[in-house]
Amino acid sequence: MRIFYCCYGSTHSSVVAASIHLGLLPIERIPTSNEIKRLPYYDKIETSEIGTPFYMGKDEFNSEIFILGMANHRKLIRKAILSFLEHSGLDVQDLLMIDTLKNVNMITKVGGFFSRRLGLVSIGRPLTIIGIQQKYESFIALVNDVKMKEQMMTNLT
Amino acid sequence: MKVIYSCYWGSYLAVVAASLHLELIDVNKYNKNDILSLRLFNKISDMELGELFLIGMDDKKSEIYVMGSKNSGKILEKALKGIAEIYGLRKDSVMLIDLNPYYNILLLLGILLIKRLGLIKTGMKLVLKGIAKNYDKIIKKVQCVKAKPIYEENKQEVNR
Repeated sequence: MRIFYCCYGSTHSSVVAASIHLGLLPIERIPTSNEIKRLPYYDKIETSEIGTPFYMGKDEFNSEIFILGMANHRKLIRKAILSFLEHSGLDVQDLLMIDTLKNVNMITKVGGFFSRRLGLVSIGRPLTIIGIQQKYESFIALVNDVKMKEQMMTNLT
Repeated sequence: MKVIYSCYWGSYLAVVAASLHLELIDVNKYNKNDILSLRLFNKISDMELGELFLIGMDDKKSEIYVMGSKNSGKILEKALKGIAEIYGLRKDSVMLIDLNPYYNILLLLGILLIKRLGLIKTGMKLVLKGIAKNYDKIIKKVQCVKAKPIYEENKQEVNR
């Protein structure tokens, strides 16, 4: 199956969730700033790339994990993707689109604005990381939920 | 190939452009009754934004759709192309044409009257005037779409 972690710009919360999912980040402790900073795509996607899905890896259930930025149009773009696949005669039963933006706090948002919008990476990036660290437990809970769903869906098919 | 004509609400400019593409309405002369008789004209609800509606298939075997996509056009096109690739379709198997630049004040006002104030008769008059004003531009846009290199490529593939 395919799992898309979706947020505003596919560069902070979706990267972190996908990385926890793929075992690139620990689940028993809060990761250090360096562990987050060196993740692929973390705080590196440009505004012009928002909308393009990026492949993050394959998990233990052989599912492909992607990140996808949908800006302020998450509901509409999700619907459009499902509608497009259905009209293409493709199965949408083994597809999960997970919104990770609900785990983003103000500090990450402000940091993201500084880094991505204003280009002030040295100020913005550390802020995004502090925000992620503060909310890390809710990221783990989210990924656990996704894996449970994934397991159920994999067993069904 | 899927050609998706899209605008904010989906059921005005997008329906007109898709119908011009398929020559369901006269491409030489604006006729309001033709437009009013289009199946989806003014018929896509707010709940249906993001859904694809098939209008028909053109002479090059491309499926012509309309969709209401608010102002997500640019991001949405990248997302659909990316998804197409991931699912093993060609990246150029989908094309999204955003008609939002062709909204004008008459159209916007008309849609406001129809959707928010329920003044359908007056609103529709303004919408039609707005479309008439930009009709030539929409025709040109559709001609551009039909002449696009990707589209040509697709034609060759079909002919092969």
